[in-house]
Amino acid sequence: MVRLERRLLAFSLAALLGLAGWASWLDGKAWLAQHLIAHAWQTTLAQGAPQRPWPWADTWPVARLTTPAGETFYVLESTSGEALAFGPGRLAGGIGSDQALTLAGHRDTHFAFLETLDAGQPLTVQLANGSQKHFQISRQQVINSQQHPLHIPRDDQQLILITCYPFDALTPGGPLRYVVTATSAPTSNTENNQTER
Amino acid sequence: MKITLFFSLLLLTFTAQANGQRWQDEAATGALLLADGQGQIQPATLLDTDAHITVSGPVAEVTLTQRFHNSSQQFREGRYLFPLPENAAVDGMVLTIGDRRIVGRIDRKAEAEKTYRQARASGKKASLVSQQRPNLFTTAVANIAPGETVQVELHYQQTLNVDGHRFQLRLPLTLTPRFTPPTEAPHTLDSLLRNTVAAPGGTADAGTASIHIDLDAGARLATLGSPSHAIRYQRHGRRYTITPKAGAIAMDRDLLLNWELEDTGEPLVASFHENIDGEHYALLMVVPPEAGQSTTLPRETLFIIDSSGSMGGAPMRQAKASLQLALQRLKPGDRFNITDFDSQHTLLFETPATVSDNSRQQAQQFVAGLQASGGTHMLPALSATLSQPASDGYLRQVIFITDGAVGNEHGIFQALHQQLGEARLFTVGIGSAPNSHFMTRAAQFGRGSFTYINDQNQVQQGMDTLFRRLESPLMRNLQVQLPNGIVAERWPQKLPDLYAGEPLLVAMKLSAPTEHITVSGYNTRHWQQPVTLPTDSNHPGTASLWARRKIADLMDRITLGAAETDIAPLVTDVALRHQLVSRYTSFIAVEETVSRPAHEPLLHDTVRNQAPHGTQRAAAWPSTATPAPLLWRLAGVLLIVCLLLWLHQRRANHGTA
Repeated sequence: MVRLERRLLAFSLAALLGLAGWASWLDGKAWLAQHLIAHAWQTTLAQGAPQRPWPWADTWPVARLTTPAGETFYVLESTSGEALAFGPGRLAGGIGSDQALTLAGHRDTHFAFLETLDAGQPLTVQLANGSQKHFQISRQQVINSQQHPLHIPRDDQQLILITCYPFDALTPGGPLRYVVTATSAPTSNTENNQTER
Repeated sequence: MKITLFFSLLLLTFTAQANGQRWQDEAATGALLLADGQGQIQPATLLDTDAHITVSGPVAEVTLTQRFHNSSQQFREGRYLFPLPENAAVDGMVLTIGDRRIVGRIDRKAEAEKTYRQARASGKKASLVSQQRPNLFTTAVANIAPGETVQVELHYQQTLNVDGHRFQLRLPLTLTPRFTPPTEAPHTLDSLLRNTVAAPGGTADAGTASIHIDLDAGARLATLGSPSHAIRYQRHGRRYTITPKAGAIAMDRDLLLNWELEDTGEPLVASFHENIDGEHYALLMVVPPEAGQSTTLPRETLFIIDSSGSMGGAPMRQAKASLQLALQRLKPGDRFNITDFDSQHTLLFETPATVSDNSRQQAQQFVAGLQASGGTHMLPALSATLSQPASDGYLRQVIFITDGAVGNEHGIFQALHQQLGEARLFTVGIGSAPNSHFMTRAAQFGRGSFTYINDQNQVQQGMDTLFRRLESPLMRNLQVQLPNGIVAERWPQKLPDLYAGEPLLVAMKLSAPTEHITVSGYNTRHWQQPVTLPTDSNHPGTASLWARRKIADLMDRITLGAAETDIAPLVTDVALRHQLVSRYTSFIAVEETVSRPAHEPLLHDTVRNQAPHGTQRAAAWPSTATPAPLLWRLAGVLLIVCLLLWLHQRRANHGTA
């Protein structure tokens, strides 16, 4: 009996380490990648050309998102599962587009902060040409992705953030999406930035 | 009790792993765009497609009619992408709203867009057709009143795919989403149209298509049939009337129609003529006989196979089957190599290897292990393949198997021009919607040919055809002689060799009408044939074909380094005169009366393209969660289990002590 329990304990410990290791890999990848991408972003801004964060990446940073709390996230060009593991992804919009800039991210890593957002709060996006765009959150919605198609307004003055909902759901792959819409802020913060410098 | 808990936890862990895998698979297909709107869900815009096709010899004239119905309560704007076939040119458009008709006109692109925007802003109805890529056209219909139906009627002409005496008409009815690598900047296209490259997630399904074909092949037919759909036909002398058996067909695969001319054993020269405002155009079609000569030159065959993500599903199976078949047909003593590419590329052998049982077996294993994933980084793969050291005395033939879902076409053409040298390039298009414009042009650059395979059953026939073509040219030094005093602006300017299975089209604009033309060439001896041009009859499409050849040639000069500012006015001039859509010209049709009250908002609605038959459908919503929270919680539960077991053991140990 004791021997069986000892064996069970060993099994459980092994499984525990395996699960924790796997989960740490997912979270660690999300955290570490952003630091690597930060470097690629600086190069992008300096050279004005897309820059892969590491040579075998199938994606590259296209924007930098600043949260109301001052946290920054680097947005990648792609919303494939591979890209989203490393950072939020661009779904539509951006330079030369007449569509709303639409970004998607994982609810349990980069876009976990969406849960804390409220209407009226500011969001800032820096695009690859160096321009800063300031937005103000106007609306938060929960949408069932199985019943409603994704609509992207033909309006480049909007910013849309998409993540999975609910935030504390146990399993991935659910149908609900949390959609935050922000509109271009009227104040000219670029000038403020310049005076600060 | 505890044991049960433990095993159920183990089970949960495995389920979580399976879910994670499934989620990743789905996310890999979900990378593409897009639906428009104001964030609100609107009822579907219905779409109906009707194609009427008239075929004369190597040219088809198509009238495509599409109906948009605004079933919502608001004024709306619809936007749809035309998947036009390769070698097609738009030459007319009619917009019908209710019982009013508006005939479109062609204009310089910037002016057409300005007119469209003005019309849209002032509440007028407008429809714009522009060339985004050579075979992608979009139409946007603004200001559709609630409950109203708007019909866009588009006329285009097309040169057909020809193989020996066999002709193929292809009507593309769906799209492959395209991938543009970041390092080579995509060509600057107007942002108004950029967002409609692929639109898999709109509100409305693209509806069914009804198709009617009138066929006059110019000679007696040996066979007639369709590999994609069941058809029915009626014959009236030399003319055939053809419709799909099912009536209206789903828009999930291209329609193919094949027919074959009777082979008399002699080169056949068919001629066509068109007179437009006193300008005379002639088209010659030289069809080689089927029996060819085989080459004695040893060959070096370099295969390039695309195993990127867009090849996933049926296309990858077809590509692998094609390559396996090609490997079987290699002759002992010849040389070969295989390059496989997606985001990276791999060469099977360091340098081309001699064909032997051993090397063939290695190649077969290599091909069997190929899997579709990753991006389409074609350029480095092409360069690596072409830069392999040439083997003296061997004729180098490059066979490129891909769906052509790539955006940096100019870069690839430039690489071909610089690196191909004396080698021939043969492209094999795979899947239900390959980028055949790109592959046809690439094969022209490489003096080879383009083979299209869209079904597992066509692999054998397609590769047979290709290998017959790899044999030496049937006729060299081809020349077209005109009577004294008559000159022609001719495309192609330099006549290529005549290959087995590949009829040669020569389009000419004549300085004066003439009936007497002589075509000559050299195979083992001098060959020549007099041709009588039917100057008293008109073959619609002849002049347009000439104009398109001229524009294609001019555009190729840009690829080869000519300044676009020099070429653009020349292209614009030809395009305006022949009513053709090009990179610099668009069709525009504007209604005179205002139909939208100024206070009513304009909502957007994108009509969805159906995903190509046989590939996975891209989801519009991204997957935005990882299994990490689940894993952490499972780990937490396991931690408690471990603690409990450990405590229990300690207590048991104490008890025995």
